[in-house]
Amino acid sequence: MSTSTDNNASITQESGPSAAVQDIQKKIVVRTADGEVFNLKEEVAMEIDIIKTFFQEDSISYETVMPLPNVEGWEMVKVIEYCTKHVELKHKVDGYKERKAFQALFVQNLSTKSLLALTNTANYLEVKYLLDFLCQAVSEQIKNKDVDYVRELFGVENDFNDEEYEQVKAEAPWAHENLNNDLH
Amino acid sequence: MQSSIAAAETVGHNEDLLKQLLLRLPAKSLIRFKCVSKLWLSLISSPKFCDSHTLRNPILKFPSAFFLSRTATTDPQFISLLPSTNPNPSKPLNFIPDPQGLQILQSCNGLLLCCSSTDKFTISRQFKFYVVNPTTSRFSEIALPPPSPTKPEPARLLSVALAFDPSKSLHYKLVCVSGSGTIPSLHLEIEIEIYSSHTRTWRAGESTHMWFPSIGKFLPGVYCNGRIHWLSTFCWLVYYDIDEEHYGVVDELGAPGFSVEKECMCFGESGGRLHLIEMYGSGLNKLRVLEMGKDYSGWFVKYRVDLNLMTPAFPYTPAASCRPFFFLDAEENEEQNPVLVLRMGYKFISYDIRDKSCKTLCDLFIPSLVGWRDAYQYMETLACV
Repeated sequence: MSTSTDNNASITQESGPSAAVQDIQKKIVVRTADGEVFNLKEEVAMEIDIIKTFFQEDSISYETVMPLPNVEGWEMVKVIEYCTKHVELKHKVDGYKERKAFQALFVQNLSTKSLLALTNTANYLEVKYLLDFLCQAVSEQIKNKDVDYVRELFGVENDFNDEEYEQVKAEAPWAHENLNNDLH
Repeated sequence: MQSSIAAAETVGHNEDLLKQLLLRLPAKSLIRFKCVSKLWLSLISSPKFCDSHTLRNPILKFPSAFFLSRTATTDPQFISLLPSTNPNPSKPLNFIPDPQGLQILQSCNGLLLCCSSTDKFTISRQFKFYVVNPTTSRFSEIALPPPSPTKPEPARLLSVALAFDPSKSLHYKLVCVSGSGTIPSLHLEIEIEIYSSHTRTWRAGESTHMWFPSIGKFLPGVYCNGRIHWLSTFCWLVYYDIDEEHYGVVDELGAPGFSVEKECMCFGESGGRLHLIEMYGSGLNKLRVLEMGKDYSGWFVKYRVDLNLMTPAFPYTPAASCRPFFFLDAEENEEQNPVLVLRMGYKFISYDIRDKSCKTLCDLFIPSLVGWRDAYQYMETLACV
């Protein structure tokens, strides 16, 4: 599991003949927007469709370092963490509880804004199951929030004038009641 | 993390990604988030989105509230079943402009069938019918087809019922039952017409010479497992199968029958099974919930409740002012317990059958013991009407 940047020294493709010997542990290298470089195990890298497409369909050599200009270093760390766990659980018969426990820990120290950023990244990288999970996690966190919170979170401007806003709100005033804003 | 702020904003403006997120939110949140911006309003209001959301989100088995209709006035009262700071959020049905006022006839998986009438029992073909989604404040007005001119005798309108099951289809159907025949006869010439929200038209269904649990008065139906059911005091259960378009009578199987000891039968559906609530015993102080067995094998007693056990919580309440309204079933392993909603004197209460505990839902400010007709369950849904 290679997730930190100090793996630069362990890039294996420099030594030609021994690269063939390293088949068992083929690595794929990516570079994120902030210059961090990551070595991914092939089986984990192939979970990320955009990487899979880049290397497989376009027959690009594994020696190439794939640039990921839309992804930040910390995001890549989290994506690799999730995909690695996913691959590990694929081979387990009854991984339900373990998956749930892992998922709870995964989101524990992430703010909703970070979760949202990660959602965007998962969408860009094309990792469907991670995207599904993150969408679910975000919706759980925002479902009881009010309109102002949501606007701030998504950076969306209110383009209603006062009258229009009141009109929409008046259709269902009950929907704005009984919120638990202080839960998160 | 400056970048994460920018990324969050990307999601807010990326329609496809936003849709994926929104589809996972419950209906109430979505209705609220219509106010976020014009983009969000148009996204959430779009019929395509509503359809996707309805398909994706199974109807909650337990209603979050119910509508209470009265005969005297036409405004149904909305009563919440969940604990909330505002016990009676207003959810009027006044977005439906009808000078006559509205009667709720039936609640089916989040949609309501209403009729422009002040009295539920005198309903005729001329009245307007509405299929309403109280969550989205949308409704569809549907007129009944005129009676066929070839019949020598005018057929009486016996029932109009709503069949809606989003787990089967996004479209709903209305079943209109008319019958003609001389009153003393037990069998009527039954004519059934079906309306589909898909085609927005009526077409003729089955015609049969059969029994119907109401000779002259309008009788609302109960939807359960693909069939509309009708039942009344004397009776056998009859049903109309929506898919197979077949009218059937469930024969004598311990038919509840008429009995001076029994009163106040409530017929309804919960958890995919039919239930009857009966009050019996001397002074009508006992209550029991009957459930229809699989394949209409018969009514069996599922729960018994002794109302006297509730009276410590409520000062003396004459039995005559206790009336059950509906029953919400729950399996052993579910978080929710089976619940009875009933009126005890001047209060509406929910009685938890497993815990044997009572909770007051609302006080009836108008101390009138008559006039509270029926309760209709409310479930949130974005289903299009």
